[in-house]
Amino acid sequence: MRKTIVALTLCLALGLAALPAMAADYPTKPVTAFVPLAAGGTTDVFVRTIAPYMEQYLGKPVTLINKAGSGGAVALSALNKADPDGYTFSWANLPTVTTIPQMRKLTYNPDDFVYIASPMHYDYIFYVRNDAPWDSLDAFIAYARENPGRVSYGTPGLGTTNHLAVAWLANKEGLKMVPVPFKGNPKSVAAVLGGHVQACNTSTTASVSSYKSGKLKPLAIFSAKRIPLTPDTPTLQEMGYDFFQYSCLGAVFPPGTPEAARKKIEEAIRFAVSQPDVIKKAEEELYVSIDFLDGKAYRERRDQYYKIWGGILEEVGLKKF
Amino acid sequence: MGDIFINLWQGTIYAFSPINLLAIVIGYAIGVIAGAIPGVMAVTAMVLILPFTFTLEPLFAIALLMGAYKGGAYAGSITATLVNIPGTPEAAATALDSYPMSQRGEQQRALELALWASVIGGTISNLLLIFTAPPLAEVALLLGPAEIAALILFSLTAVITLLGDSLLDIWKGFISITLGLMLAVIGLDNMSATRRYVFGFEDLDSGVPFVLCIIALLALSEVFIQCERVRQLHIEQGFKGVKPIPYTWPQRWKDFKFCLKDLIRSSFLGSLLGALPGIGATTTAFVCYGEARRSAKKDNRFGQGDPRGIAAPEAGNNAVAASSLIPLVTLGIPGSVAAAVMYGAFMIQGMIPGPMLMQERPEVIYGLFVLLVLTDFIGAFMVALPFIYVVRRLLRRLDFSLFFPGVMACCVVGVYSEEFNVFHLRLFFILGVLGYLMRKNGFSIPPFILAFILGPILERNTRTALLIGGGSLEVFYTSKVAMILLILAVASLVWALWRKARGAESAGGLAVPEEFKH
Amino acid sequence: MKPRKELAIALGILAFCALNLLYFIPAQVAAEGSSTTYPHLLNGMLAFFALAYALEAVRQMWKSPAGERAEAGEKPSFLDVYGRTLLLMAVTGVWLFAMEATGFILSTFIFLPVAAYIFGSRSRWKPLVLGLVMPLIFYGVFRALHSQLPQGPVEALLSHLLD
Repeated sequence: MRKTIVALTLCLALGLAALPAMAADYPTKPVTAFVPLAAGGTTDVFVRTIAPYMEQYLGKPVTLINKAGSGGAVALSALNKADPDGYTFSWANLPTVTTIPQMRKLTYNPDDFVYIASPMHYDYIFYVRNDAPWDSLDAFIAYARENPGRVSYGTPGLGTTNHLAVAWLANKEGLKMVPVPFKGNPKSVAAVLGGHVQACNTSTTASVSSYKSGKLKPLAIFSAKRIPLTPDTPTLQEMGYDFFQYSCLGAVFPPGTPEAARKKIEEAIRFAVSQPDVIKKAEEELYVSIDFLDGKAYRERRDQYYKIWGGILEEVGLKKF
Repeated sequence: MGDIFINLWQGTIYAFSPINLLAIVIGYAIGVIAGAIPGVMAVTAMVLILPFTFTLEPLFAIALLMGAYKGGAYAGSITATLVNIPGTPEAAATALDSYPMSQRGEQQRALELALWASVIGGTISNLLLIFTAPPLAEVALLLGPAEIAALILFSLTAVITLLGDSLLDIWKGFISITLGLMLAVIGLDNMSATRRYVFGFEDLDSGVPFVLCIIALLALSEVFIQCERVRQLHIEQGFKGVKPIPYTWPQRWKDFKFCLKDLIRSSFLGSLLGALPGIGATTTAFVCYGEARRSAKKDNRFGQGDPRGIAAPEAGNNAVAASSLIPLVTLGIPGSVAAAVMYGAFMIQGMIPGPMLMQERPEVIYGLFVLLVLTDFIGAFMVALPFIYVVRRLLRRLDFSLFFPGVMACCVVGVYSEEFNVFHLRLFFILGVLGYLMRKNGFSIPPFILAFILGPILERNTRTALLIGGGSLEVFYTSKVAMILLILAVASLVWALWRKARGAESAGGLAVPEEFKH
Repeated sequence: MKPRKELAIALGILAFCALNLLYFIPAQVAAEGSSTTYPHLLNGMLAFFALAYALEAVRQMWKSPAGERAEAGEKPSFLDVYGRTLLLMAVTGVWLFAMEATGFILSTFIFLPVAAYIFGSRSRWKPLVLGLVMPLIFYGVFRALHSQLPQGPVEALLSHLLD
């Protein structure tokens, strides 16, 4: 009996000793990170911009692997199957852990993941063409109210936050507008430029060039704060709506990854996004907002938006699970 | 117009440096090697080298990628010619005539024809990009979902020329088309974000990747078919059986004159189709091939090694390379996968391509144009010609028993590195077996591929048009362009079928080539 | 190809259409909440073409009855013609389906020589060299590009040794 207790104590002591040892040593080999989108997009370039700084902090290479598909679900389902040893994590956009699991059956449960941190969030602008007769969102809404079912807006896909945010607005104002899904933000912008839809809600990067050359007219910022690109365009909140569109990029570990590894990657991300270089590149060239959330805040934000977006999904009839 | 020349001059000053020319040569070499390896796409190579451009000079990085893109656009035809395995999807149409030609021993002729057609198509398209990009982009913007749907339908009728002659072959061709359309249905229905034929695999949500599908149907199935010929292969032992026929200068000139009309037609057609998002080089090559065949006289030798059957698709698919950049530089909208990679390359350098970049930093865009024009010539003379010389030498004592397994490994690496998904390897195998069964039973693959690529665009645009139009078909006849295209589509369908019906009686030369029949 | 075989294929396609209509479309399209219009349209087209194909095959059978069978004479057996291909397919299938567990290097190292022997390689050692060299070249290229091929025990070992 006594021997057992001694043995147990020893084991425990050894185990406790091993834990901090893991924290001190980790990482001892390269860390693999999945990127849930194809190479060459805003997210991809952002992630590749911060990777060298993360490597500098971790002292080991970070291998980025692009696993596109199913709005990021392919990357997360691969992550779900990976070893939770702290050497594989995935970048994920907020919809992949909030809306997509509510729209279709997936092989992972987003509640199980270990949320590491979120380095930035995206910004969204609601545009019409420069020669459109509306100069404010109110005028646009008034027109849409008079012409139910005849006003269409472009989105990068059904069930994306871009679609849901406009759907929320339409519901709130009692408008009947047609959401038209295009293959990605650039195509949705092109449809506005060509006059095939009246408006679009797009992330900033896709619209920068067309906006700067005067082909698009911003009516409202759908994200929380005004953005440097269009400093004079008011946000939805300033117009009196109690709503803004939110989606962020974050990093997650597979279920069961030790806290020590999570902490280390969180710190690496924090280190990377506090670099002046990164901040400058993100804001001036990629048009996204650096907004660091640690693991706890990120998890809370995720839970909060799981409900918010879920509610809107239900209103538009896309919620299945 | 004058502005363009001033800008071009400034672009030349900005871009013309030995370092950038070196970038073109390196890039072109990477593209040629990746393109020539069956299954590995030039775009894959571009994606893999993209992260390394963070540390490079802007124009060096872009010239490198540009070179890889152009090199890959040509190099797919090398293996298509020599072993009937297209190195890239866009060379699938070239194989229809270049493989029979090389089987006769005229390998040098087939390879050079493809190369010079590529250079001509590429150059014409480069010039169109430089001088007509803005208006062309405006036109492309004005084409709405209804017009695009009608245009795709029109392009699909080019398939008809690829069908066989007997009634049996025609029905089988239509079955191939329908199967291609059906395979493309797999995945999320974009219009409602719900699943179709996914069977619970989220890996299928984004559909069957098109590169994977084409490599499986053309390359993997070809290896399976070659396996049946093992005994024969040993008798042939490489190409020792067929004596190589040299390609003389008078013959080059004769071929040039003979193909000139098709070269010019394909170059312009390729440039136009390339400027429209989504159609892509593979479809364009088939459409150009179909048009060349449609306009040829009755006694043509298409499918048996007609030089026009090489010149037309190669000029067409290389014309796409430059013109698919038109929406990118003028509107900031990437129209193809390769253009999306270029978009990323610009973004890495801190520039967002589009009308603004054209106004703010014209020297960058025009510098790029200058490099683009140079790429075709530098690449062809400094990289492609020596490369095909080496490949031909190597192939003469090739051990097929090692070559085909090697090809399979390359295909697998290529398929995997598209999206790094092991599920795709399984899909690759299944489609390879499907392709083998189809070919063994006389269902031709090109119509299947064309339908597979165009089907989703057709469905999506038709449904978008209906959605915007509130569910009525009105949009299709109120738009003049759509209406004209639809009438043209129906007319060309009827005309092609009528010609087929008459050709069937006289047993004309419009047969499906043997390699695709089996 | 014999009209009889053509007919069999046409009937096979028709059977697929029925399966599609009765099982796939209801269970894999409608049940997911997708519109069934387009899948039904395609299924109808396929059924129509398959029917036309079947009728044409029957017509051919009528036109050239039995007679042809005599010419067949001494035909190589099915296995003689297709044995190798089937074997290659089976090996390829195992290779690709197992790769997730075994990783690229190990499975390819085994696959390449086996496939080369199926292709009738007369050299004993060349296929082994190919099997050893080619996966390692790919591994090297992907490593240099900071990318990965499917991971397995050999990759883990190499990564342990090199990093």
